[in-house]
Amino acid sequence: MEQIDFKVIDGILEKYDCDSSKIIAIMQDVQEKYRYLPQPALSYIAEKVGMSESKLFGVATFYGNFSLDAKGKYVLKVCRGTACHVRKSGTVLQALYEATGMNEKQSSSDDGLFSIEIVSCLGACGLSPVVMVNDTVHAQMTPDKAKELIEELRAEGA
Amino acid sequence: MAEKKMIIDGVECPFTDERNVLEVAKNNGIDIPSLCYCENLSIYGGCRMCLVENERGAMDAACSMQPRDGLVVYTHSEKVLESRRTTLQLLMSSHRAECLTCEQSGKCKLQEYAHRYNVEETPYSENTYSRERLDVSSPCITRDPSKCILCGLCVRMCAEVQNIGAIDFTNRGKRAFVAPGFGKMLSETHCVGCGQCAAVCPTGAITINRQIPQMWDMINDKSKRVVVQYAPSVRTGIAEEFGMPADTPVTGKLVTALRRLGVDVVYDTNLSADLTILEEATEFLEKVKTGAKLPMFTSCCPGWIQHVEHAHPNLMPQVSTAGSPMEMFGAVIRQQFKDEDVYSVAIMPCTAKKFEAKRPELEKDGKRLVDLVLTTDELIRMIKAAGIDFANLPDSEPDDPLGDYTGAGVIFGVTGGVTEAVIRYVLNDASPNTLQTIAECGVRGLDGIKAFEISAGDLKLRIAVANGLGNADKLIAKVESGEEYFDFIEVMACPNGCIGGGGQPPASNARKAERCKAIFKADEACELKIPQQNPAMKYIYDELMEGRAHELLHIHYPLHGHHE
Repeated sequence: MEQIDFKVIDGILEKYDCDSSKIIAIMQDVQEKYRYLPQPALSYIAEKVGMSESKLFGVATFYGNFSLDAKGKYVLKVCRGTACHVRKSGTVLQALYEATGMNEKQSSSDDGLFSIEIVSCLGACGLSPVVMVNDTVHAQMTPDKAKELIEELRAEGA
Repeated sequence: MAEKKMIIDGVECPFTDERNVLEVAKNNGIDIPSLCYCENLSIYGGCRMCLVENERGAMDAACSMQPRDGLVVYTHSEKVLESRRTTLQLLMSSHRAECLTCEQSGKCKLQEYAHRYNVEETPYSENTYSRERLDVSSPCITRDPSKCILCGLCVRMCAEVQNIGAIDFTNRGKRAFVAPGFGKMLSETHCVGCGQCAAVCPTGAITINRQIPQMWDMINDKSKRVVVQYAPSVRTGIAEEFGMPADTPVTGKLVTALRRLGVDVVYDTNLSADLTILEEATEFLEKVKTGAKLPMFTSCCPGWIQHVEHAHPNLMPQVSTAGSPMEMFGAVIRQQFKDEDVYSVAIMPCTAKKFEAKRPELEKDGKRLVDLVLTTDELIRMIKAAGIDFANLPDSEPDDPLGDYTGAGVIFGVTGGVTEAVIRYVLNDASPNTLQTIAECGVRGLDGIKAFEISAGDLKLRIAVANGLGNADKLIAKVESGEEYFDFIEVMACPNGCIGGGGQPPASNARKAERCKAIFKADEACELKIPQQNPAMKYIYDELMEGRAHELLHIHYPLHGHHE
């Protein structure tokens, strides 16, 4: 498990005045830092803001945007909304699984580089099929472009 | 000001400051069904059972509707009844109904409503109850998510009243369930086993860990001498279950019932409550004299002890080391029956006592002080199983020579009782005038937090009493911030004290007030009022304790720190 730097968490808590009503913003910042919500960080936050661990866990599991599993360096969001589906995003998804050597049950690839998430709509139907890599949008994807993308990221990330 | 009235089912229903239409209806003799509402918790509005129809045909939840002068609602129109049936069918479609063998059968609100509203079958083919695993990690309660209907009462009880939050909703939609965070089991959380979640659970999703078969085995094992003690508040939770008013005095019947079940020796924990006072009050006066850090906290409540260990470890040295009455009687029984094969059983209003009895500190001379704890609820089941007509039983007395007790012991069963008993001991005056003064000093009543001052000779003592761990936390915050000073603080984990314990039959506030009356009636019925008067004390200290009173009657938990 990743080492948690509690000073970083303290900094985030300070930014939000340790206020329990800002818990979602606090959790978002933690997730941005670690790409997921590590359990020790959540337990630490629970104590600091005076909420129960079970409540924080409840919030973390309620919102699909929060993840309790370690994510890869590159989070690939594959849109499976209607427009993307019609333009064959299913084959793009399949190509991404093959290129990264992952299956749908894994939260990240064995080398820790990739996570693949299926999302319902990214709101960019005109660019379909769409894949987002962290904050970058890749438009009009094909299985071949998907494989190239993985190769590029692998070279960049290694 | 004119009286405010709303019209429910065509009947004028006066109201004052009721928090919702549901309460107005209740006070006017109309029972609107609800599964997620409790008078002592915040309003959730999640179960949709309490929907009522207004004049325009719109439906709204009565629990979330403010009463208004002239408001018109219908609680059993065709639309309402149809909606209730649909709601029940939906709930039943994700509830594992095994009613014949379910622990909650006969007390289950879902079951009751299914009968009441003639739900014969659900139209849904697949039952989507939660497949999350059964949690049997706690010695006090069992959690079965497959029977949970997500009413959230347990979640609110644990967070709002007890300020613990051991469990909460996890996931969302049809995958939602109630559990501790991070896949933990109850024993890995700060749960204190108070059982208040089980008391509010409308179904069998959280139940008391019942150990009735063990008790029958021991009763039927003729080589064992089964010795039973029953706690002060147990006598207040039984009458109502056998069709008598809750404040009927039934102590004599209780003793008879225990003997008829096959118990060999019966004692009243009131005796050791007297003993607790002697030890605890002596310790308190010693602390006052030596200038030790105050306030001193009471130690009889196992839920409170665990809460200190989890949430206020720094306060543990200020918690009295006097054992709980159950522990003390356990020690007395071991001394009384030395080498005999005794099985020591305690009937308690409390689920957390099941945990206390198992603690390593409750073993002395290589023996458990208490072998088994049964709750009031379990005893009632046993009496029913034995076919005993409880209401018509003759009275009898506990066994000698440990059968004596005073009124100071009885009142342990209600919040403030331990404190009142300590004050009676400190003032050492059993005259009616003094007793009256004590009763009116502010120690009585079912408020969550009480604070008052009493004078004992030239001593002026600031005292506080809290029931419910959330209230205790509020009080402690005030003490730690320096806003308030107290010499003595009593804490009982359950709302209203042991009469509202998690092992008692679940009760409304009104019912608990009746039980409180029953306790003070039992006090009035006692000839002796202060623990010093109990003739058995001399026998215990002189004959049984063999000079080991402190060792046997005090419990040093790890956080108490070093002791002599």
